[in-house]
Amino acid sequence: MSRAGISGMGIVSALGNGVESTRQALFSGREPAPHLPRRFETQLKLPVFEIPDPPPSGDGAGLPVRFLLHALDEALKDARLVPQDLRTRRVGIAVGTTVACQLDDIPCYARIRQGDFSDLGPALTYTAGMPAEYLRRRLGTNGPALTISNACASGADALMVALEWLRTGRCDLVIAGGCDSVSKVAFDGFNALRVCSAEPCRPFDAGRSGLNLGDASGVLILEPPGKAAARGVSVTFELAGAGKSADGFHITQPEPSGKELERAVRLAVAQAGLDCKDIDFVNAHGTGTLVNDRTEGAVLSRIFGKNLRYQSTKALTGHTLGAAGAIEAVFTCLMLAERRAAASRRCGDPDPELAVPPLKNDTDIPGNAAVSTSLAFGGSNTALVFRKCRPDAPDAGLVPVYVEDFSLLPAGAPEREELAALCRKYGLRRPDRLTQLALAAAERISPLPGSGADTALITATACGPAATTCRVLDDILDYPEEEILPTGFSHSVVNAASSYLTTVHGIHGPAFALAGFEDPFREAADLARTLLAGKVCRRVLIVASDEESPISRAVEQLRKTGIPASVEGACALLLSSDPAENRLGTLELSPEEDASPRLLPCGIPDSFAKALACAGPDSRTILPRLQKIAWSL
Amino acid sequence: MNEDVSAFRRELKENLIEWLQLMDKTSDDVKDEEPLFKEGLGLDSLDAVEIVIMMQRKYGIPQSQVENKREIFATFASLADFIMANRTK
Repeated sequence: MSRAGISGMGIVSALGNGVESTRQALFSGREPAPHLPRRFETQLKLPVFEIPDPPPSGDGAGLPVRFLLHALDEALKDARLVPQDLRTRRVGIAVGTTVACQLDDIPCYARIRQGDFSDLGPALTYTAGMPAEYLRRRLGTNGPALTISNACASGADALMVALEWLRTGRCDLVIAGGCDSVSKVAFDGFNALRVCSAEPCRPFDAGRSGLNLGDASGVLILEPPGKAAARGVSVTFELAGAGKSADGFHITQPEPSGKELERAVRLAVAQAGLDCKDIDFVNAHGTGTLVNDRTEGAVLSRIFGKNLRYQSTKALTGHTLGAAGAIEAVFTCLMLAERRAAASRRCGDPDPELAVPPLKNDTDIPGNAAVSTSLAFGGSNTALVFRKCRPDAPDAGLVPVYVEDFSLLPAGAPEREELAALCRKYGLRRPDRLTQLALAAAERISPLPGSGADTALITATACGPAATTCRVLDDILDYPEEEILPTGFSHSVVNAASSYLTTVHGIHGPAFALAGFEDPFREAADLARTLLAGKVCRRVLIVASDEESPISRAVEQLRKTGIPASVEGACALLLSSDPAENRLGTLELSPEEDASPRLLPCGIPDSFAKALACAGPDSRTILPRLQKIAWSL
Repeated sequence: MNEDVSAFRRELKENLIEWLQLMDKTSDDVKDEEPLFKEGLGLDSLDAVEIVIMMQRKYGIPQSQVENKREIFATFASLADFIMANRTK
């Protein structure tokens, strides 16, 4: 099967601008110092790792995307690729970010909420700036483009998707990475969650008091080593394994035993064809919060025993959220190349509860293989394994995908009574509107998924939890002197609905939250096909939802410029690779260049036809997306 | 219990349910002498922050006045008594 050889890397973070300066800084013993935020006003004395703004993109892209372009430029040069090369290959783009579809331009929102749509420039930056779609337009590539917003695991998840695209032969080359910048929304939000430190963060230290946020982007170019060699580019390391699991436990708190994190690490090591004793070191997530570091340290000790070597690099960059998994992939490869695992910085007095303390000094290693972990809000665990590159083997190839069931939420649902019943049934406290829609659409699926580790979940959205984001922005505008409400912030993350769905349905397989303005539902179906082909799971539940809000109304205004908008609605699709589960037919995706909507085929089951009939006009933007998917019934 | 106290407790129960979005609870479920957190009403650490912000916005009690005073949050009754005695609006 095709290996995901790493033929190019690009990076920018507080540790360095570019791969070479990052490599030097990583082993220099120098620790960049965080400082109080400079880009926005705040009374909070919490330091961050901001870096200088990159140059403008020329087309109004926002800050995270400009960091991404900066890292991409370096990665393409490193891989000796020019944009023309990309147009003749099947190129996939996967980018992790936490701000995907969240409007964080506060003055722009202040106008929107008053119904003033006269200056939507910043909102246009936001809709045009969905990172993966932006890159696909800018580079003129012709393949899947996924913006993955799985909170702090987003960057690692983008790399996992890249691996699966290459293993299954879905793509010839993948641009994968992550980007995020320190915004006032995230800054106030993380403060409200009480996880920020007032001093430089000290991951795994006994006196640690929380995390610092940071700016960054990292990009990797991945391709089969044979194809890179044909261009005269040699590949040293490959992304060889990825394991991803859902705690299905709580929206923000990690499951205390860490058993799902352990499963993710073991899956990744096994997929890489390795044993735990082959792993030189682990680049841990290590945010510097009390709970994360303790759980993670315990799990890593359990897996690797007393020979465990690990470090956190977040004392050098801060927590760069959606970029973290991508920049730490670069750090991991640099350490393997140097045959040296870096010390865990600012950890002078390791937490005595850790069975094995993190690396005290830079340590020589064989340079064969290493693990990098990323843990996120909502109990999303991702582990990646990098190793010396092996030769290619035949691709896994795609497999038939069967439709088990489908649901479309009727307009106006769920009403109060249905909602209260759902909350009682699953013991839920406060699902946001987007989650309510997603839960109600999933509830109409039969059989309800719940087969644990064999089931993956993909949620798809355009505007995400926009009404909740508006409440957070209202909080910032109306109470500038006060803190924002923590539950508002924790529900404004794009993967909030995903956390609820995994928790209530006991889904422990990988969960991906996708955001896109072009056709997120189609991208979700495409990803599902890849996951099933790669045998990452046996079943995939896709849930697409969007909610009404001032932000989605502003996006509606922008439709005049040709950018599609969404209104409130939800649908769900349950797919399987098992022919025995073939209840509604085989899923076939129309070619990407075929933009014309297709009519639904005949032979639709009664329940689906009834759902369509009562869906009403509110589902008008969801229907065309569905119509692009033809069932050969 | 005098009428003012019981009227205020009723009001506060309804405010708490609305503010914390306790969708499956009514004011009858909030018992005066039961703990607010873990057992009892089952609130968590995020709820504690939400209650502090509610005290500030709705009742004009600055955060500095409640910081590090766990005893205020022991039971619904202790919270209600504190707010009643210290409210500025």
